[in-house]
Amino acid sequence: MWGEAFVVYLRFGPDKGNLPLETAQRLARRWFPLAKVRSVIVDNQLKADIEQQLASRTTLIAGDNHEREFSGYEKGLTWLKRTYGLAPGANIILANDTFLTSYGGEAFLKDFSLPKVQAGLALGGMVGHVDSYPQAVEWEGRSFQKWVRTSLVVTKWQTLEPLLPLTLPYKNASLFLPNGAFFSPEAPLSEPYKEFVETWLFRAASETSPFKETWHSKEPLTAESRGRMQAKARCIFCEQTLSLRAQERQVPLIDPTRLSLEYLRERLPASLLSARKLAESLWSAFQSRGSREA
Amino acid sequence: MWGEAKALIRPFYFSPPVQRLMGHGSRLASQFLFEKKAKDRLKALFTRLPEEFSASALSNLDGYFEACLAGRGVGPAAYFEMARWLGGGAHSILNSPLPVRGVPVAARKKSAKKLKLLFVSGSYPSRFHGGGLRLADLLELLAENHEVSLYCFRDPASEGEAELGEWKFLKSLKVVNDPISFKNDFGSWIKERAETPFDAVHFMWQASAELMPEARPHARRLIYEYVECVTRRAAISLAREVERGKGLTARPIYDLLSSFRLESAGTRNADETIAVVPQDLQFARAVFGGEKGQVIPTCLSEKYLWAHLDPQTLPPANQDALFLGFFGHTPNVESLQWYLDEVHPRVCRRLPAYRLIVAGRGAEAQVKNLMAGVAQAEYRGEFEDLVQEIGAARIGLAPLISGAGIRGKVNQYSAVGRPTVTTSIGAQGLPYVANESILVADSPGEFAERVIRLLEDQTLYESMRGKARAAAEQNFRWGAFLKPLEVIYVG
Repeated sequence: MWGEAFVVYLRFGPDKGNLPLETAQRLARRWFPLAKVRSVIVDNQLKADIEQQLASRTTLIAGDNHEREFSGYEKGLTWLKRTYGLAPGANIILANDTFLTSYGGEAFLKDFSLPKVQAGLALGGMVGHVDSYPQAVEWEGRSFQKWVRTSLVVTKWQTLEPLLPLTLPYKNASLFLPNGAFFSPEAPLSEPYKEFVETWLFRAASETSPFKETWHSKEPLTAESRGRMQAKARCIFCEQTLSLRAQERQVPLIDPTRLSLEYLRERLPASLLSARKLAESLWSAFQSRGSREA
Repeated sequence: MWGEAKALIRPFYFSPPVQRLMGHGSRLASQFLFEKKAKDRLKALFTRLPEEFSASALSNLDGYFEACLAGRGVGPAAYFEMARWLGGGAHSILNSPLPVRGVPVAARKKSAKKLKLLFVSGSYPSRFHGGGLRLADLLELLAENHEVSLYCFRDPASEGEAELGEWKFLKSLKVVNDPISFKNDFGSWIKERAETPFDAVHFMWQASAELMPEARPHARRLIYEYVECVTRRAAISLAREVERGKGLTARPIYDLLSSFRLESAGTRNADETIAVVPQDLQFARAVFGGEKGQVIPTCLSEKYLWAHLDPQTLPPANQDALFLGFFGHTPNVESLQWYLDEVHPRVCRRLPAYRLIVAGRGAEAQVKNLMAGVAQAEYRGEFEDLVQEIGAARIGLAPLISGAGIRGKVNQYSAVGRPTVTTSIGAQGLPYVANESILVADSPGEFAERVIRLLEDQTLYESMRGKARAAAEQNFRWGAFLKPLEVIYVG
């Protein structure tokens, strides 16, 4: 609840306005009311070596768009570590400039309450909107089914740091073919995983496939669109393999919109729970004192 | 609970014994502050000032100190600040500028190659004030042929919203908005970007002088630019305050010494210095010593002025007089106050159709307060189009009574074909000829008379606007000064 909170806000130019950033900062203050909230805006549209302090705790830096938001997030985290040191218990909020639109507004955020987020972090988890495939898929022979959306995710630095880097260690030639089939036969994906990703990006879902979701910018695979599809597929792998590595390290993926507070509290260790109760009673006393004075 | 605690604490903070103690402390500090030694050193500094300051200032200095000692207008905080400067630190301030660390690298011969340049600036590049526009123009023009980076301080209080994304042509950019980070972050920032040394690091404004030692190991040449010689500005203000003999404060002495400390350090640490007007350079040579220095004036912006200048699109001239300025710069506020108090009423009495227009960013509340209730005057604040703003007026005003450096507003008025009435301080360093391309007056009565004459005499007006425009065009195009600047960088 106290300590430090860092917002890594990823954008591609200023076109989306300040609302997503301000919302992410507001959320950070809601979740960590006693913490100093510092923000780094990573702009992947800026190519030069730019670092501009916009307010006392907000700095704009030029990003790195080679792996889109993931290389940008990495650049922001590296900057934070170099500038502030990042203690293991530091709270990290990764947010991008589409996190409001991709969830259809702010309504979904009402479930991202302070107690739920705090309980999720106390469990050592990554807190965000969790998606899943209808069946387990494999990446490098390692199986997973669920992942947390990286458009808005909250976690501790000690949880996130061992999961880095966020970018893929594979070159395009190891994953994709230049023409014909989309994926290379050597790509480290299971067949169902390939099918799900292709269905999401460009392919019509087969009647027998359990996965029928499609991307809002879905379009046919052509010579012209192949590059864009490859870049998008890499982003999907970056996002999903982050959760794969997390689950392998026993990091729970916590979706506050689906899990009740009671469910989360039941899983907290007794020692944390009692400390938490004490903290909450102090907080409640502090708040009631404030309202009396007002 | 908090109410009780406050009640307990309050008497300790404000009790008479504490007040007496504070008074005693300030008296001790004042004695320490104005000890003979420190006074002698200040006098020694004053003897180094050019004639225009030393004659009047020195003759009244003793009386000035006595008034300060009597506590008129000087609070305890100022005493302690001054004690720090004049007491313990006076010797080092006056005689030992910041140490130079690292070993100077020998200057290279002139070459036509692409230079690796770094600007270190105590102010942000901005079209909203003269110095900021100078920096913005230099960055953009030099980046056409060279690799240019910028490390700068930006004051969000006076400079408003950041102009994001305008500096993409820079190789590296770092902007900080607190002075402590400005000093602390520079060493590691320049080191990370100096795998090959910078050909030249160009320091602008006095605050940047403190960073010069850290740049020395990473640069072939260090250039220090006064932009406005603030020591000279402080000397002008102090001399003026001494002459007026009322409302005395310790602040002008503090400003003079702190400016002297920084600018003399910048001058000594630099391989070459740049002033924007000959008067600043002459002052710097006299006060800081040495023969260094080149004059590179602040030219008119190709991007924000010349590119927009089409006489066909200018609004018709009316009876408005325009005062253009960045009011985060104290001399502009002082001159506006002087004009409103002393000159404006005289012009209003003679010309009922005349209106004063005040436009520019900065100190909005202060300027509004100054103009509250003033008849025939309008405050417009920040504006979008410089040429249209100037073109909408008939004449320009630059009633400067303090400050140094160049008066960019006079050049801007002239380039748009709007003749100027100014003071001798406002005309310093400019090529305009009095009564031909500019009108100059220092007393309120004469200033008002010049404004009225220029607004009423159509023949004089037409003659002056043409000559003023020609002088601006001939003397203030950046193209003529980029080569000399590159020569300074190469050495």
